[in-house]
Amino acid sequence: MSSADTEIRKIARVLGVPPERFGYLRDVPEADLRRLRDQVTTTLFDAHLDVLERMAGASKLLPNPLLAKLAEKVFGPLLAARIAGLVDIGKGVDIAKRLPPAFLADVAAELDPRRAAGIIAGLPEPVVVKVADELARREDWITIARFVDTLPESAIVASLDVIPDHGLPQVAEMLDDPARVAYIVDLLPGHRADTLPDDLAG
Amino acid sequence: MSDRSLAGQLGSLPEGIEALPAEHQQDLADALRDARRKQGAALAKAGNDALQYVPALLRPAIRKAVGL
Repeated sequence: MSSADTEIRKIARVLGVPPERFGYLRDVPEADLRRLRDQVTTTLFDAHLDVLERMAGASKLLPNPLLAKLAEKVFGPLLAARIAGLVDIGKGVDIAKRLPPAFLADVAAELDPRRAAGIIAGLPEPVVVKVADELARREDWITIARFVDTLPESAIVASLDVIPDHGLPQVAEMLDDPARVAYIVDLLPGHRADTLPDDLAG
Repeated sequence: MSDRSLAGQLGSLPEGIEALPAEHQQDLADALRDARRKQGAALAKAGNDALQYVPALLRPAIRKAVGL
């Protein structure tokens, strides 16, 4: 897959449409596609920000078990992902711990990890691993790659255990920062690092 | 949003995007507008539906905090 194709898939993911729709972007330079993705992400996350902030504020009045129920039954993964970066970190972590891994995987796919870095970093390792396992089962390499930039190293190491060998090159290909590929390779046991193609493993 | 063009929604565009034919820029603009609309609709529905789960005593305070 070319780097333009990778970016197109990421843009399509943010917009919730099939990547084939944006085939006409293949000749656009990768840096421009990356900037477009950043602009689209920012625009979507900042849309309705006033309402989202009021909802996050109102969440302080409600107990966490009820908020977890609301997240799953009413808000759904898209809105939960939008609000996640706006709630108090401790509250967000406690709510996340109460939610099933499949729902957290749905939220992860919609999340901008940069905006919820505090919550992500605060999640207990077993929760992270269960979500990574679910994402790997879905072969959602885009989401796994986006989280490699945000998770603490111990959580990345534990998550790598549940990513199958055939998924590693896919995750490496989806990383925004090529330097992170070398970082991941360093965290892998030797026999697994060898599963990465030379052009990715560096 | 009144300006439905891509630049109207995003501000200044990357060079490679600005160089795209008008129909492709419009397709991107439409996809972005649809995503925003979907998000807005989900938000409006969630705001109302959530109240059904909130204990009756707390509803006025929540309504006030959210601005419903």
